[in-house]
Amino acid sequence: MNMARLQIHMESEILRFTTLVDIAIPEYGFAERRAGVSPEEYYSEKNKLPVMFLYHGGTGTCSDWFRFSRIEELSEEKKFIVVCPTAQNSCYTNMAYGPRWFDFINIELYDMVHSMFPASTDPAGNFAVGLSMGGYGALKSALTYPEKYGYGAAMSSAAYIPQEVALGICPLPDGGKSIFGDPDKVLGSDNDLFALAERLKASGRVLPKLYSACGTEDFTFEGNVKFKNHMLDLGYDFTWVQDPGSHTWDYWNDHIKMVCDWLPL
Amino acid sequence: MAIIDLTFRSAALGYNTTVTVCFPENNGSDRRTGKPYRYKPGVKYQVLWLLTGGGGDSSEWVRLTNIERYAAEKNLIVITPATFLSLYTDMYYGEKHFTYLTEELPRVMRWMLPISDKREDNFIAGFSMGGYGAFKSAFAYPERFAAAGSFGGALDMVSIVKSTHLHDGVLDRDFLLAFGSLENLEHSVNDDMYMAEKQMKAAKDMPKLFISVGKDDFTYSRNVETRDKLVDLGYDVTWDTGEGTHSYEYCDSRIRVFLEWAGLKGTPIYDTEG
Repeated sequence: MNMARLQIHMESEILRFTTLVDIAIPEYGFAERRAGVSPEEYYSEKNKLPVMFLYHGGTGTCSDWFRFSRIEELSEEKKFIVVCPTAQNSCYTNMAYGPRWFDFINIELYDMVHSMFPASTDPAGNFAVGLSMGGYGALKSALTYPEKYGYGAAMSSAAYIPQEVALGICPLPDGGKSIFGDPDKVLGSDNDLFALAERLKASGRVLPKLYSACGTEDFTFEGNVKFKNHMLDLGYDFTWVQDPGSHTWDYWNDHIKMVCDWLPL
Repeated sequence: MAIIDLTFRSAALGYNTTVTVCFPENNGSDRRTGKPYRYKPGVKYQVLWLLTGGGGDSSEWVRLTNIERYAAEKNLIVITPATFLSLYTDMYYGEKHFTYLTEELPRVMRWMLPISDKREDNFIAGFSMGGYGAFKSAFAYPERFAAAGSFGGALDMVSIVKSTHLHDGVLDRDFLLAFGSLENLEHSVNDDMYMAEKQMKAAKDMPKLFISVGKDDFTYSRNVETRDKLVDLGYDVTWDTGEGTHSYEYCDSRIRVFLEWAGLKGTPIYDTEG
């Protein structure tokens, strides 16, 4: 493989502590050589690559995707940068009682990546992608900052989790209170993807293209169907994939490849 | 401060190798002291290519000194490659480490990271065999570096080999693998003093040099002799010494002196083209 892997120990101003970020950047390789591209052309300042911000699930960390899927080979094949932050169990939110993970990832890390690495700043080349809790986070990134991320993709997403918190059926140990705060105020907040999508649609801003895949045996399946129906009702460009599978890395490893085929890579 | 452990596949070496990068990131103390937000596309940094001693990998400088902290003070990116026993050569029996260090690594890092390619923003230094690698690079490519530093450097390689590593006409193993023979070494790009003289006689604009060695370093007297030779050749040499041996402890105590001496800008470089 002609890939650079970077593990960054990054002191964050927003988090106020040092966090880990894993990145993969494709190098000049056989495909370029076959296509007659020289190393000088490839390593020129003009060559900016698309970026996938790829989010892990609950209990996970920034190295998960590299350890449990073939994402690095996909990024070599399709020539895009992979950026995997750590967000602990925050659901990628600015936690009601905890760190501001959402701002860290969508402001500070986003800016750092575009100033440090050969990353495209075109929203058509910036993708928020994730699984489970990270799927929720990816959809939220794209629906909050469509000018930054032209595409959002989720697998086995926890899109419905704010509704579960409101209904008192959230499976998290504290019912999701440390993340979402008062359960009575979750619906309609910026953490409620249903409401976020409605407001974005009404705002007249550019809309991201979205993708959601969920296995029919996955415990998030019903919530994902509800979110899918909501998004299609709103008229979003929303690709829905429903197939046999459950909440497993086998499923996500298969579907990250499908996400890469769906993205403009 | 931030640190990157980077692994990539080198075409020059033919295998995956590691690079450690220190870079100054945006942080709370920046905001408190009113420094501008640095995560802007197009921002560049000055860079120090920092070389380990023989047998070292990319992690040594960062683990055994506080270079990460000192570099952050100067808004400097530090790039430390792994070189093992290559003596920073295109080895006679082995891989092309000098090509890696001087051609591939700068090309890939300049694309991957926001480092300036201007001579005035590029510095190279090293410990022990890395001091030799740094000076050799500066002599071979004087147009690329503003300054070079050596800490307990294995300088004047021909003299080292002749006095210590040549037995019955055969080189000791590391030197044999790197150079093949004394004849191959002499008057080659690996012959640092030959290159120093040749380039100066060609009236090249040579980088300024910083030679530092601990008072109890076993390389002390050779460093004195090398300094005198380089001064005689017309080099701008700054001599630096202090308490210490052939160690990273000594490097840690002197690398800050080098960074002060180098005349760094101390800020990110925002005014790039476009």
